[in-house]
Amino acid sequence: MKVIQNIIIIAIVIAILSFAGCREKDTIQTTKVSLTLLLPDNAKDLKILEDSTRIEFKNVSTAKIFQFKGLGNIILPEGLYDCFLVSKGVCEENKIKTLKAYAQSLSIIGEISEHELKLFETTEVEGFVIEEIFFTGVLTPQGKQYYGCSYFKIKNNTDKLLYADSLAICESQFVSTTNWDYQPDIRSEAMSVCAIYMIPGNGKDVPVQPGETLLIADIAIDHRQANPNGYDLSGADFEWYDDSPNPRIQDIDNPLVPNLEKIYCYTLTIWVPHNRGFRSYGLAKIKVDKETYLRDYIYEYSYTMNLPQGTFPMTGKGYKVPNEWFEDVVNCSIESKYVWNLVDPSLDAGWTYCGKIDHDKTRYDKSVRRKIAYTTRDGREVLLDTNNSTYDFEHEARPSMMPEETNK
Amino acid sequence: MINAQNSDTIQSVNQAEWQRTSVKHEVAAPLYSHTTQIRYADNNRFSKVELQYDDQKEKQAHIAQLGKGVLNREVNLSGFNPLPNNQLAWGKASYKNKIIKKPLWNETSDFRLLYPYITGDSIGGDIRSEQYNFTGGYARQIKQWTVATRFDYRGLLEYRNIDPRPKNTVNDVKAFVGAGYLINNKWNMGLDVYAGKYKQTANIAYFSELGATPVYHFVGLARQYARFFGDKTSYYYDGNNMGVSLSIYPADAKGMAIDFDYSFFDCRKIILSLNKLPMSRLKNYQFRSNLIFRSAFNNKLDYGVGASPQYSFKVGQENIFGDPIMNEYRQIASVNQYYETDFYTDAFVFVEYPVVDKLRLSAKPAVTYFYNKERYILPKRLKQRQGWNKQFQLALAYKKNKTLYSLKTDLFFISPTKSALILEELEDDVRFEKTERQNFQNYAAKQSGGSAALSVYYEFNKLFSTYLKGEYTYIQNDAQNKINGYSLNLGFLF
Repeated sequence: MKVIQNIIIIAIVIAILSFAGCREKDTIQTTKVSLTLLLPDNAKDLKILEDSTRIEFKNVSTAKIFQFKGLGNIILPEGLYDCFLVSKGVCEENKIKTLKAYAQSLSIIGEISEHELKLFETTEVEGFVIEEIFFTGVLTPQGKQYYGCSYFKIKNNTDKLLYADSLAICESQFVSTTNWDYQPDIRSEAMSVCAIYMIPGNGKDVPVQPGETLLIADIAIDHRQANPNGYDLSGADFEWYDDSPNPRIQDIDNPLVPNLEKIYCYTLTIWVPHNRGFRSYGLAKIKVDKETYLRDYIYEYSYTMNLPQGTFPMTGKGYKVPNEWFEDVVNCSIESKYVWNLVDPSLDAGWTYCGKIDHDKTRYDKSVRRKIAYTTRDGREVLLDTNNSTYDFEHEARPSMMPEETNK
Repeated sequence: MINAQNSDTIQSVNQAEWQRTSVKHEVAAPLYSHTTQIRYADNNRFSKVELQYDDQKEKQAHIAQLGKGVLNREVNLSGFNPLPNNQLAWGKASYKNKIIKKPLWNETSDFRLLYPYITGDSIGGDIRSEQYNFTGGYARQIKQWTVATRFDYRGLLEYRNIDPRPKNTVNDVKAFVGAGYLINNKWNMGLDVYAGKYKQTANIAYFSELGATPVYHFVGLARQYARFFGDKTSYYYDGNNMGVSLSIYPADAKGMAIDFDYSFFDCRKIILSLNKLPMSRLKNYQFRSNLIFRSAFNNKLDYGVGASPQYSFKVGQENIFGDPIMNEYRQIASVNQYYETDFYTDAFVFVEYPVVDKLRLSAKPAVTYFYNKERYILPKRLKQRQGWNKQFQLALAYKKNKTLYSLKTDLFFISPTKSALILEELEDDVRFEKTERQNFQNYAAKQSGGSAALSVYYEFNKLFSTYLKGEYTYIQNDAQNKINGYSLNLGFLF
């Protein structure tokens, strides 16, 4: 029995030792973050008011958001972060300017993590904004996809009369869900585009009153005639029409609604905005004539595709629109596949969405709509425009053109 | 000596079953699971074929991820076969065909083993499950020494034929070896070790032409790995396990019987859709022991006491990745975010008394203390409960001519004395939280219930018997939830 007693004692001791290492920890590893702010190239004389600095870190893995005031004492759990900063700076003329910075995929690990953030100046440009984009489309009663209902709404967000002549809708060349490291990277100076449709006019032909909206439809008809789930877009101000050489893929032209002028489109058939929302859309004043544009604003790029089948050097060609021409840009993506922003953060530092995954079947009948910032005394709604569509837009919103009686 | 060969006379199958169904025998079942002790499980060669049908219905799922009950049909075969020269071979095989009723937020098989790193969606629906188990063992006694080995295999296929369509394939193998030494012809001391491999391959498909619904990779306590939600529908679990146990069993089945068992399971969850990204790692340490004392008063009244403490500790590690480069995610850090501590011990006494030769009564009151705590570090989340479970088991066995009747009733009352749920920083998707709170209601609720099982054995001759067993189970809790279950077994012993 003595042998057995000893064995039992040894077993108990081994068991206790085995579990001695099974200790819980109350905290996780954190990292002190040191940020260096780099002034904009054209404003080296600015003095940053550090008290006004607000920083937001979004943990890419967990989607948790951490907010800080000032640059000191930023401590974060280890991880990969997107960082968004807003600050104020004083220039030599004692003017206060708003500065922003945006950086993606900051690897914050170890005891101290040091990063540089390039600031850009934001001026609250008042003008046209994209009020709404409906790109997801609708379904038929049989549950099939129905095309032609897409539309854009453009609003005069000022208290002045503006003219929409030469204002163009641009679709990005690339998608936000795939980045093959396209070279050259021109985002700091221009947006690469694959489709440009412009409002025709000679400068003062398309007046838009303060607070008024232009509806620009794919096919400006009452779609309810063909599909009970469709919208009535017959009252649109403009539609885009493509003269397709393919007899099987034809556009419909409503002669009562003026067409946009097609500057360029990657497809020879008909243009439909990406209905899963992978692309960005911009609103730009085209400042040269069509011929000049098509001659001088070509964007040629190269990239390398790394696939399981091998590595393939590729080239591509599209067009670019200078950043200064843009009145507004909206990045779109989906959460499960988002990889990068297609434009410079000064145009849009965020992104909005309809649907959370690729081929999300809940995305139909939803749009992205800009939020209302405030309403003036005379009842004019001013839309939120901070150049960050993550905050500026209502994601997966009810489309404004959806018939009121539709219960969705 | 291998025990079964000590029998001077061949017992009838019903006589052997009379012994097997005794409480005295049943309380020592955990000890017999060791390869070096299994020879004490029975004195007779026997084979069993059993068909089982059982259906369990939950008014509301106790654990949403496990569904509202299970409809199960299974076939079990087992054999225990002493061979010449102090050898013993035994084996089991079973096939289970189940329908798991409407699990939600879980498309992963072996939920309890792999939690918190499971994958789910908001739709769920009935899951069809087919499981195959095979166990084969061999033991040989050479003088005072026993050497033994065992091999376990479990194959599981779970799927659904409408969207979302998970298809999970599990292969779970374990190999055991053990050595025993008989001390003073009384105490058989056994040392068993095992090593195993676990793999579950899972994929969720959608056939709808309109698209899919998001798939979530959960990390515990209503949290998901936000970065990888959506359409990463192919993943697998790759695990290893090992264990060691030390056991001491009295050859005459009287006195103390003790075992200590330590096991370790280490499993990684890998997302195939992201180029074999190792999302998380789960480690589970488990310690179990059984301490049993059995004796007899005047060689008639069997009695005993026992306790079975068990402690387990789970650590969940999440890996953190940088941006993908050439479609490969580089791991930049890892963090231990999830901990689960689970402890319980029961203590029981039993008495078993043959009122007359043909009638046996037994009673087994028991009390169990349990403690369970799950934690998620950041954001802080906690689920915890502790309390008592009081049980009372009453059994009766009666032999008449060629028939053996066995009636067993079991009552229990679970009363948590302390429970808590803290969920800080809720997810955008409130449905996770709602499910967690609903689970917690059942987890923290007082619960009572019981079961009654009646078995009737009919012996055609000494070597062949058939039996029919019916069992009904009823459980309710103060969260207004009820479980009704019944099972029917038809078996043949020979």
